[in-house]
Amino acid sequence: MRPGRQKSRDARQRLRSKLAAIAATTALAATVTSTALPASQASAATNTPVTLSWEMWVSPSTIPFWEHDASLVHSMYPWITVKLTEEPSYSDYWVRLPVQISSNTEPDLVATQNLRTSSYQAGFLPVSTSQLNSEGTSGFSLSAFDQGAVNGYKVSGGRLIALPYDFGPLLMFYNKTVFEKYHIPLPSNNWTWPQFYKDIATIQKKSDGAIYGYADDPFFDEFLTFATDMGGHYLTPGGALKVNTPQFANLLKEYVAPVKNGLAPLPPSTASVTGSWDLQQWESGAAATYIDGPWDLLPDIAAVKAGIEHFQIGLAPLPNGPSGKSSTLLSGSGFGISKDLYKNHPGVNKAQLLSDAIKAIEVMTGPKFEKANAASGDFPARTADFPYFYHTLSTLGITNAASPMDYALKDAVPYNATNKWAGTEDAFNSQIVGVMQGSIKPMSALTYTEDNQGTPA
Amino acid sequence: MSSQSLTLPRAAEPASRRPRRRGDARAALAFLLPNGIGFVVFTVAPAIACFALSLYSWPLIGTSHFVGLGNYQTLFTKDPTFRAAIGNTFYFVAAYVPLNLLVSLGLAVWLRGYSRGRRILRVIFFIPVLTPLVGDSVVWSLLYTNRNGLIDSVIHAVLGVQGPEWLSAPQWAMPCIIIMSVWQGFGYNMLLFTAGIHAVPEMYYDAARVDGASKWRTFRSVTVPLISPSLYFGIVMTVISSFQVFAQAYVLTNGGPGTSSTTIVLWLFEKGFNDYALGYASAIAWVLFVIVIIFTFVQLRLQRRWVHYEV
Repeated sequence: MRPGRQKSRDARQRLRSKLAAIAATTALAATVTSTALPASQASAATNTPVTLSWEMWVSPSTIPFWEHDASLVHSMYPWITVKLTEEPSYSDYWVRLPVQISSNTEPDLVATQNLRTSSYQAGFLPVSTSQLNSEGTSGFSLSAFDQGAVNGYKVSGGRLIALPYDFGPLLMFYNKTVFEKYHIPLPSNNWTWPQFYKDIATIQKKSDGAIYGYADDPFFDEFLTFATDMGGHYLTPGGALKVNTPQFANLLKEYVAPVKNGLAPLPPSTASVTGSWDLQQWESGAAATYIDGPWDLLPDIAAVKAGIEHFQIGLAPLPNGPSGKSSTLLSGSGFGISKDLYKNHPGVNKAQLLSDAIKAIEVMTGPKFEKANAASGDFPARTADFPYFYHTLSTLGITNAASPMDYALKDAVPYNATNKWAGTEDAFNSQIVGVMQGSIKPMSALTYTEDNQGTPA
Repeated sequence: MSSQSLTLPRAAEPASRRPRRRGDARAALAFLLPNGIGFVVFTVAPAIACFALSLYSWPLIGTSHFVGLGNYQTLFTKDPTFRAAIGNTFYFVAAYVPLNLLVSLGLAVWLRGYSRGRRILRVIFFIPVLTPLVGDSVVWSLLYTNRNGLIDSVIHAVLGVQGPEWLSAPQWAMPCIIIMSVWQGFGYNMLLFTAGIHAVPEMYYDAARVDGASKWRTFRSVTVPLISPSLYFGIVMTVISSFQVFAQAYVLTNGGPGTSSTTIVLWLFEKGFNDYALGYASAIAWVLFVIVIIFTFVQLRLQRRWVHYEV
């Protein structure tokens, strides 16, 4: 999930409560009626009971869903109990976590996002693939996950700070009804940016200016997705930010062109704070397209249904860049083991504790949970569970999701960041509306971003 | 005799008053102690800790180290956003304080008296002060919306032209914040000045009328001098609060576009709670503290020239 999507996340969580209940019940029944107990249960008597504390962002309505995820661990390994200890909202969670890392008061298991790997890796116990295989659940294999989702959590030595439970590429969401109304061919996997610009201009023209073709988000990650698709590399091989270049200045100029040309509305400079401005423009029918991730699909469907403008939702990969590929950034969330694990359990055998924690995160991102997760609207990180997500969408009227998603995933890359990302995003987001409005030059905005990356988290 | 009667009590005073003074001092101390403890624990100690923190590079995650005045040096030599924030904050103070005083004093004078209509109007004008600043800012952000906002719609309906990009244009962002702030904040001073005006004895106005003074002359020579303590208090508090402007800038523009409406406290917030540069944010806090202290001290010195405490 994107950092700025708090509002949409909350909306999604509200919707999820209904679906979660169904998904949890189904998955729980499957767990209870499982015919053969795992071999690991046989050794329950020989293991010291342990309760692992766990934190992630939740809303009151989603707590049962996540508690069910925790209960899967206990049902598989009876001596391990995972307990959701705190229940912060999404925004609160990201205020709490750095404080907890700093004060050595983290819970045992911690939710994180691939984008934050560089910033918060100090708070995690990185684990190797061999540890995941030997200490975790029977038959665990990293290859069951989408490798783009996994790679986002890799740190030095190829070790992982977390296992993903959801992820997604950024896609183009479009108003299918508007495209059909104005006889514009629906976006396909082959479309390009010039075609996109032509389409949004047509929408604007044919609607007599009543509908903007596009809602251009004044947000750093969306610009970087566009830049990546156009062949730009915002990080040096050493992992440092490098955007104040003529290439990126041109890319930024192109990125803001829809606004400058009147094909997209000028956003308020607070759009980066709310993080859902473009989404609202699109959901309300004011704009025909916008860029977002699959995590917002279900709330979008609900919002469109509940809104004034009832339209059909279409999905497309980002238009193909000059290389002929649609190369988007992958964002996602996962669960890791905190560096305070041993401190939280003094006197407990460290090897056993680590083994238990690995088992826990493997179950919490395992196939049983992922099915329920997909049914609740998250795009699962396990490739075998993709169809569950597509099935969920098809029941809600979006039948063409698999093709654009698969196409987008083909050349997607993990959204890597520096350890100063919060400051970097703020710096860019403070400039972008000025660039769109014309008062700030693209190169000035990018130089400002480089000069104001802030301090390492 | 008379001199005796005058001197005797005086001679007796020190002996009789000394014990009572001690008792008064103890009672005063007892009354002051709870507040004093709170002041030391919650104001003085954090302020000292904040200053100590400002001498460190103190990231939230990672190790901190002593940098002396390094944070202050960076602020004034290498941080253009901070310089912009200082400029923007002074712009806000310079525009907001006079506007606030003008509107609040004007309305206080206009609403002088106790008629039912005046009372109702005073309540209406005071309502924005009672409403949450963040909520007010959200409503005003909707009013300022380009094209579909109420302000733009009215301008378009009346003048037939499109209004400017209120919150998205650098030249309009700060004026928008100022206008909203004046609307939200004038009620407090209006009430303060109204109380001051109502405390002015009617005989002075009667005398002014008898002397044939015009309304303006009466206002300038009677009202203003006699409510000068209220004016002084209002000015001091308004200046202090306006240097601390944050919520409206955060909600309406988030300091943008660019840094055109970034204020000192907004930059402090960005550095402290988004960037987690706690030492640097503390240095910003101290610079603001010093600015406010200087302005308050200057006002304290100047008040001797124009504030009249005796009617």
